[in-house]
Amino acid sequence: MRLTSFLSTGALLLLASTANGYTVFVSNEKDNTVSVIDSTTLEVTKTIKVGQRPRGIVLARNGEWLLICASDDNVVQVFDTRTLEFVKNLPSGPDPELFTLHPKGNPLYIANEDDNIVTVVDIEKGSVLSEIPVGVEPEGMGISPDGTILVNTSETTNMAHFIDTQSNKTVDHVLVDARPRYAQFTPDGSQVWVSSEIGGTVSVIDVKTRKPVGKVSFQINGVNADAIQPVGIRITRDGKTAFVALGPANRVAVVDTASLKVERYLLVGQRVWQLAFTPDEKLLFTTNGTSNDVSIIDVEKLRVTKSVKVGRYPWGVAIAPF
Amino acid sequence: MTFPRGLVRSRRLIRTRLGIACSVALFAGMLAALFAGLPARADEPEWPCVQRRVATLTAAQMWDGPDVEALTGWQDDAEMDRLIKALVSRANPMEQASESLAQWAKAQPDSSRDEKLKMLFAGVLKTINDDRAVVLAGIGRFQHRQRQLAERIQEQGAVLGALRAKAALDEKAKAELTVAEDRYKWDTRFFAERQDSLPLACEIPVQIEQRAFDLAREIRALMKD
Repeated sequence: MRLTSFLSTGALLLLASTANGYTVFVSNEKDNTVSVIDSTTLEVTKTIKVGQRPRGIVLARNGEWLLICASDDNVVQVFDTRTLEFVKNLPSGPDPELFTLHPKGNPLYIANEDDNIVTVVDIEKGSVLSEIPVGVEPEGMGISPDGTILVNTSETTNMAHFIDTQSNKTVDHVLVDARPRYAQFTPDGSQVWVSSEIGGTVSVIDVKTRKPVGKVSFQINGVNADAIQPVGIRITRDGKTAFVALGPANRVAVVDTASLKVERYLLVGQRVWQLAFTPDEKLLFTTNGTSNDVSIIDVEKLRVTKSVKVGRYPWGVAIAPF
Repeated sequence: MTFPRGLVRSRRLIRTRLGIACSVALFAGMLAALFAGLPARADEPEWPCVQRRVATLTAAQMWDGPDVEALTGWQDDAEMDRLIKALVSRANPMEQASESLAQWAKAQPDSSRDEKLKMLFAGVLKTINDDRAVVLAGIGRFQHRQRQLAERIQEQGAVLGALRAKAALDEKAKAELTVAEDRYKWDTRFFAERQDSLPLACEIPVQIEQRAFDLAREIRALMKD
């Protein structure tokens, strides 16, 4: 009886300890691998070989599939997140770099850096639905929470292109600062935030009017302006706080979305690039392209708690809910 | 970043039977695309790497410790100066550098260890920035020469077009065409081979930055405050 009770308690403890455990996937651009990290132990549990030059990664089918832009293979690869086995290739158009999935789970919108198009792919059928011409060197991809508006940024044209996902046509273009890299909608869909790597700013654009309504600027004591290069952006579900990766400034900026003021700069690894929250939003993972590690930020305490070595040139990060 | 892949593709094409006539137009277009996005302003250094150029590494990029920008004096401490040289040398494996650093730190009196480590980091940062500046300048010169070569190749492409038109009727032009084609082939090959080595050159500043950051982390970890 005592043993049964002990076992039951043990089982409950085990359940409790794994209840908040997530699987973190990090693409390593130079190693052609994806590192798998257990969010509870914060250790790399496996490294899987993937296609050449993996960059953007995203989860599909409620986290069951991991989609990887294998840029130099000109495909999007699909892996099973539980077995870590390769499932299939999806057509991607040339040099896929970043992509975003429709909130309903399909289709996938892929930025093709070399061809100045966005390719729309049905991930179930594995077919190309449309190719949308955009600006030169498309990169950042963000989709509104209701899935009606897609925003693509073009590095050379310095624009955020607004695309109607019903017609797959561009409906507007908004000029932003130099080399826009990433587009992130606020959770209520009212704004889209666009980071500009060379401009060193984040433009905040009103989605209805498609006009810039504000700009976030960054200043870090002792860090030269040319090292402040905003790239990845994540905004908390309550819409109150944004986290912006600042590249070779090696900092993540914590921004109050109401005032657009930076509240804090967190020192992470080198050339911090992309970010992802755990589903419970307790942790934020950052990929650090030069120090070849990921930093883990405690979101409530706004403290960097650990860094974990991964492969060379960690680029994208996605976190499965199990 | 598309430079090397585009050039590799074009080089293969030049080697095929499709021949120079088609490759001239293709290569000219590619060269124009290659240099279109690059800075042309005289006051901006030419920079071909995918990583944006950052002129100087600062202490604040590396650590959350005290400011060391204005610190000097490590040269007056021969042992520290020697250690700095050993730490920044990329020929010295990082594990070995860590060990030397730990030993040196252990030998410092408790009361002055933090100050000494601060001074050491100031020396490391200055030395690394000096080395890195030489590398950045070298990459800039490389890119400048590539640009000059690209311009020459584009001019040669135009000359080839004119000679080809004349060569059907004129024996002298025919001979000139052969010479011009050889020169064009040689220059495009030379250009493409140099361009292929660019990713390796661009890796060097990254490796230097990695070293600086690793050293900063280690030095900071040895400090009490």
